[in-house]
Amino acid sequence: MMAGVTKEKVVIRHIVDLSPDEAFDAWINPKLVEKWWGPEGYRTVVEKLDARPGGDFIFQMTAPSGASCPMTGTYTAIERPTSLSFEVRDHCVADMPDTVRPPAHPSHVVVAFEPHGDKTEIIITQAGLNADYQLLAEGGWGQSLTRLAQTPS
Amino acid sequence: MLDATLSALADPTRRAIVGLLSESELSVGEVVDNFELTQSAISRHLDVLEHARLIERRREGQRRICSLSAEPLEELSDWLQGYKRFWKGSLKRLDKNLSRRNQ
Repeated sequence: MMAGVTKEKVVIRHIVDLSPDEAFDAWINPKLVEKWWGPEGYRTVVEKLDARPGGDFIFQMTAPSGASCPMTGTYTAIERPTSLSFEVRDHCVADMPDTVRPPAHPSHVVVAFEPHGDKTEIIITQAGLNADYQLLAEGGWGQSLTRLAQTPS
Repeated sequence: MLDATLSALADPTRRAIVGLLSESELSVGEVVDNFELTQSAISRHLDVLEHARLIERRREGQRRICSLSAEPLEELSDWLQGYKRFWKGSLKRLDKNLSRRNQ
């Protein structure tokens, strides 16, 4: 698995042992979504999943601590089996540090499914957190700050 | 605090100042030497960074020394890493719970 940051976005890549169609289904079939959405130890209940452009989703998530919050948003593009896009309106931040607050604005997520032999690479691109400070997201602080220092002013 | 950090870092000159100070603390004059900006323009940027608690200034004799204050940056890192962790953790579970070899 790789995670990196380009100039404007957080990009996460992961190859799964599924066909692009199967991987795509994992994102829009509520029964399948409930099997994996959220980090280890989280439980997700799909309250709404309307996989059409303009359709909403409401995923109720419960963290290992028992803290619960919804992750909600709206699908903006559904292109089986190559990509889907959605806006996240409410970011569930259960179990994140107290100082961490959810962003005030929606962030945009594009999920691309690329065939790799009989597997599929899922590429998640999350944008809209704020282009100017995505530079800080990568790796340790030293590395990030070195890159900041090289940003032309 | 996060909002103040983000808005302070929205400016490329201020990001470059934070980058410089991540390598070593510097006097205000040394910061100024790194830019083609007037001392008063740099001072205004330093005011914003200090207000956001990203840097601290202290006096050493005639010199004012600027140094980085780690806490707001750590908070920003936690916040950004939170979303990365979310997706990485989810994708691991997707593979574990749905892939063919585990059916």
